[in-house]
Amino acid sequence: MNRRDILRGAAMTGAAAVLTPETLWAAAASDWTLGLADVEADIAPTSLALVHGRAPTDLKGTLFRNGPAKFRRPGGSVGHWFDGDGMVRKFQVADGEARMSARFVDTVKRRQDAAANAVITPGYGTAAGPGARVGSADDANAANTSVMMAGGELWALWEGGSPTAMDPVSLETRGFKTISPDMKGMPFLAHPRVQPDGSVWNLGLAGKRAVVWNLSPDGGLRKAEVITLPRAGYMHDFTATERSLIIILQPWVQEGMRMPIASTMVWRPELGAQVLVLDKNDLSKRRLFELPPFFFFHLGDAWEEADGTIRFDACIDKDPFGTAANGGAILRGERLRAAPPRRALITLRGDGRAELATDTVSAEFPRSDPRFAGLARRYSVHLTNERSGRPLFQSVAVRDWKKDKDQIFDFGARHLVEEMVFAPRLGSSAELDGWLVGTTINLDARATELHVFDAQHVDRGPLATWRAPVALPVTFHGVFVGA
Amino acid sequence: MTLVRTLALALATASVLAPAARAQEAFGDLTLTFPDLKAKQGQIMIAVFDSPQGWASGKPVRFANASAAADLATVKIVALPPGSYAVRAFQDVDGDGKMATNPFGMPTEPYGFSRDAQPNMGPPAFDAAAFEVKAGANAQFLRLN
Repeated sequence: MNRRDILRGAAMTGAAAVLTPETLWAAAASDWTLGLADVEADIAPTSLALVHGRAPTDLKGTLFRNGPAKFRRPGGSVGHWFDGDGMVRKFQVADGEARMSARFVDTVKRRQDAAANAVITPGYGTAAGPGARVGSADDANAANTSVMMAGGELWALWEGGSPTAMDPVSLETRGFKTISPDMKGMPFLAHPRVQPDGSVWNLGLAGKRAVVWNLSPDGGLRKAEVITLPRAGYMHDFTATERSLIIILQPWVQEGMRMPIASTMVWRPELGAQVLVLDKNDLSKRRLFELPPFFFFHLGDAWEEADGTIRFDACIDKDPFGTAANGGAILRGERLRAAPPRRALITLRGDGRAELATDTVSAEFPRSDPRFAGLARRYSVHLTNERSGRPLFQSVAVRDWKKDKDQIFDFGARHLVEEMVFAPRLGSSAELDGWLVGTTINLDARATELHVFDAQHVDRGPLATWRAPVALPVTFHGVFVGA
Repeated sequence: MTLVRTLALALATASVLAPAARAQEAFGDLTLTFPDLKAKQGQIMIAVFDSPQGWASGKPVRFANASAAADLATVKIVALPPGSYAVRAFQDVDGDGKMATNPFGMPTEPYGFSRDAQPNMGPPAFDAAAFEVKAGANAQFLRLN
């Protein structure tokens, strides 16, 4: 019997009373659980140590990333990865050097849970505890999924409530963003589609109803319109071409209104998947395509070809019992056996036919060159190489759709790899001419690392790697803001 | 409506004219105060309930309003028969007389319940918001969020 077994045994025989959930977790967990550990305090601005290579001198800017970083409290913990308190991390690269800071988003949920010394706020996979106040969705807003820039403001995004405005310099929370007074508290997905001109399209969901947001680059409201969807399919992401919004209605359908949200979802594969295409200029102009059933969280940017054919990539599971269910299991240090999500290309034809071509390559966190959002493009960036027996990803891939080729860099089994975003080279407009910037958790060094790749030569490995003085848990999404 | 309540309502209406008469009765006066309003604007619309049935069906025994523009928004509801009551209120910031909601039906104007009872995917139960009104002076604070 090793130390881990002894601790587990102790927990079962009642000694858990003297162990806090945090210490028990830390002692009993598999190595990868470092990526899901609790952070107790904000990280003051600090330098990162260069541990490999040299940073390109012409790369200058800030990578903002968001992800949950507090999951467990003495009186009760979250039931799912998606319900931890959002912590926004800021990595600045300039003159070959890197600095970082990180701050929790100061949400109603975090205050409520901290005061109760227990996670009492319900969420995606967490039930309400005693004394929870949920007067509106924003009372449960974890602000933990993504970030976007809106004018001079940084918005921390969740999917069921308002954006949370933050100071991009200090990462101080300013409060929930009311985009217009009559739309106060309306949901805003964590996957806004930002067009090359900076204008924003997004959705917010309430069962079969959706609000379609259209914002100017500074975050001002151009239009918000409520539409009715064919079904209340769970939706984390949608996509868009220059002219159309593309909404996938997967057969994981919300039945009833209660929390945790995941408890209202029913898998109904017999319904298949539907793809709703809306004209951005007239949302009443809609086309509906049918596909076989699948589950997804993320889609790539879409484009439209001269003959009207629409294409986009997607990361799909065969059902919600893999990736989605594992989001609960990994918080408990467990992992359900399930195939990783796979890369797929979805094609919508002018004659109303739709095709789903699934690859063997595992894929999640798809990104592309944001200057080509909604336009014909050649490359996708995504994570790959989920190893059997452990969650999360170990490699980053660049997909060349034209050459039908992938470049992959494998960080190996001792890294947990997070989403990588593209940073364009100044003065160049060629697709994917620039860098990929992203973070990993180095399990041996027990530290978060920041990496820069030449986006055209990802397989050569990072040009530069910096190491943070701390390990912060795995993030979901981020943006690179050029200086 | 019971005779006592009819009388109470009549007395409430008459209270401005006949304060001395009212003071003789074994009724309670309830002072509601609304601290820390974010916007000093509009009227606070107040509904007072005396039973779980009335609370659930939205049938108050009294209505009142208070100016949110005052330094400290407050209102006195007079001549309540002693008993159990609960209050819900919202701030009509835009002055249209209704609690504004967003297109998904969620309130966009501040609202709250007595005893700071917390909503949980809907209004709290009457019991969670209920307090006793005794003969004489009574006071409650309501936080509107």
